[in-house]
Amino acid sequence: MIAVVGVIGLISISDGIKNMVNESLGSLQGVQVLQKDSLSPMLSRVDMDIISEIESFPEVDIVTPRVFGIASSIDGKAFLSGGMSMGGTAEIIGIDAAKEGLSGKTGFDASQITQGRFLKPSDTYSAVLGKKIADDYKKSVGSVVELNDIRFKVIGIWTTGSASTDNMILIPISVARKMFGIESDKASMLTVYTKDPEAVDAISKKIELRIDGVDAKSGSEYAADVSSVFGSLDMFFWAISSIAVLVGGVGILNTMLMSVMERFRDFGILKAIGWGESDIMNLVLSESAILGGAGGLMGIAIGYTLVEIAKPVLGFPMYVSPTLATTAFLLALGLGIIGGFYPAHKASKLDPIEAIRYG
Amino acid sequence: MAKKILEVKNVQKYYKMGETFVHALRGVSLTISEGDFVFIIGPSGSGKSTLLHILGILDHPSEGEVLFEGKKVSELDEEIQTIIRRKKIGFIFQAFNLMRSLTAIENVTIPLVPSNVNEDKANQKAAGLMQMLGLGDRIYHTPNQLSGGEQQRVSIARALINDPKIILADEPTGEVDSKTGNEIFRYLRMMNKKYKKTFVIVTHDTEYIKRGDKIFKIHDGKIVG
Repeated sequence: MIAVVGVIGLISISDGIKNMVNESLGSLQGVQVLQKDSLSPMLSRVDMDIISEIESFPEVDIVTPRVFGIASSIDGKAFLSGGMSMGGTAEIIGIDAAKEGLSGKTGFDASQITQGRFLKPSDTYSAVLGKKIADDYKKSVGSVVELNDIRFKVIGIWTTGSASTDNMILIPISVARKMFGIESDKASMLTVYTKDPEAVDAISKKIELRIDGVDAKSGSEYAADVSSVFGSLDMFFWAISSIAVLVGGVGILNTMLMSVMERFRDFGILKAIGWGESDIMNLVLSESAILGGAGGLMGIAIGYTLVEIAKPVLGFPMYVSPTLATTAFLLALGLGIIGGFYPAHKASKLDPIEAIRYG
Repeated sequence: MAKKILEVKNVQKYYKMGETFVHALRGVSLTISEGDFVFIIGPSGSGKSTLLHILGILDHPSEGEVLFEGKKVSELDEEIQTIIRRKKIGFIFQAFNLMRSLTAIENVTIPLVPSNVNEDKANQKAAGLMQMLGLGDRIYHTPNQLSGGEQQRVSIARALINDPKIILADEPTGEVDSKTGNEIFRYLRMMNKKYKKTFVIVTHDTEYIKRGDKIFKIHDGKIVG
């Protein structure tokens, strides 16, 4: 049971992170163009000149520059002490309002606005807040928000329904450049939208081939990277879990062995009155499978409850998937059967006379 | 002449118990036929329980041969022996040997479990037997709610549930007073008369023997009369 709780707890974390990332990557359209070998958009600088070069490719519809930075303080409060933890960093994204929002061709558009309006090219110190930031700081359209000690007017609230974009703040790109000290002919990254959405993988290769000093990646290429990282995280969690599972198995073995020894006499009687070795074997194995299965169900229930309790407290993405619950149950059932094997064998081989006389 | 159920031919049994060598049976031969009411009597340590275990195919002779319905038991494989024990032999033990956690009727139906008998049918049959043995109002009691005599009758019902040819009883009155003992024998004899069941009873109490019973006296591992 404990083993199952452990498995549920650990794997739900990894599944939860995966879900969050996949959700975000799912909303990621187009091809991201970053400075070569940069670890994150915040550390990346690309020249604005290459926009026209990429836009000249016939497959390309529109190329938008974006500037990425972190809101290290909101309303004068240092962000990290604000009670938010992982998955809760507020990102500031500077966008070119002439290209994004209005066109409906890019990832950010007016339909995601739940309150107010999207940025216009004439806006300066105006911000569109992600829903979570607006909720956490009790902002609505018309309020003033201080981002990294600069005052902005809230003109809109937006959401894509994904936890990671709900922590994003959109401001005009020119203001973002000043805020993060980026030259006026640079951006953190470019997002390339193709006329045919299927063409993204081809275009990302073309960009890397034609333009020096950049990495271009489509959402599906990111997803492949991420899932390889999570593959190893999963392995690690399963490794820890398997220790718990081993302990659980030994527990079942011990319980069943004790229970069989206590009933030596009973098994002897059963043999004397015509139960065969296989009948006794089946009896003990089913008992032990029921023990394992019941432990598994309890473990899943407790694990699930703990995850539900922990989720809001930790602010951590955790997710108990049906696959995980099923796997955990089958694991417990299997443990029951394996752990019961030796005790069942022992019970089935009893000499009925000895068992009745001394048992 | 009645059909032979069990034939024992010159059976020897010896085993080591710790450091001591025990020669429990020293050449026993006997025949048990259908409808017999057989007593095996002798002092404790005479080998009578060992003989009963061999008759019940719970134990095997060191030398000699046991024939069940004319077939050599030693030549039957383990599985067939189990099926003979299940279908053709009933056991009654001195200490009743009921499952303490099960109700009386569950104890009675337990030998039917490996044969996958339908539960309703099994319960019906068990209830009928228990009625016949005067346990009609004890069906759902657990062993610790029953008197010694009642427990022994539950174990008689258990021995009869599979309709065996032969019932082997090891000191069936060993743990009850003589009034209860008489009552138990009344039931055993009823089953013998009415349903032609064969009984082999090991005991050191000679008070239950009646005229017409077959008696084997055993002493030091040998039949002496």
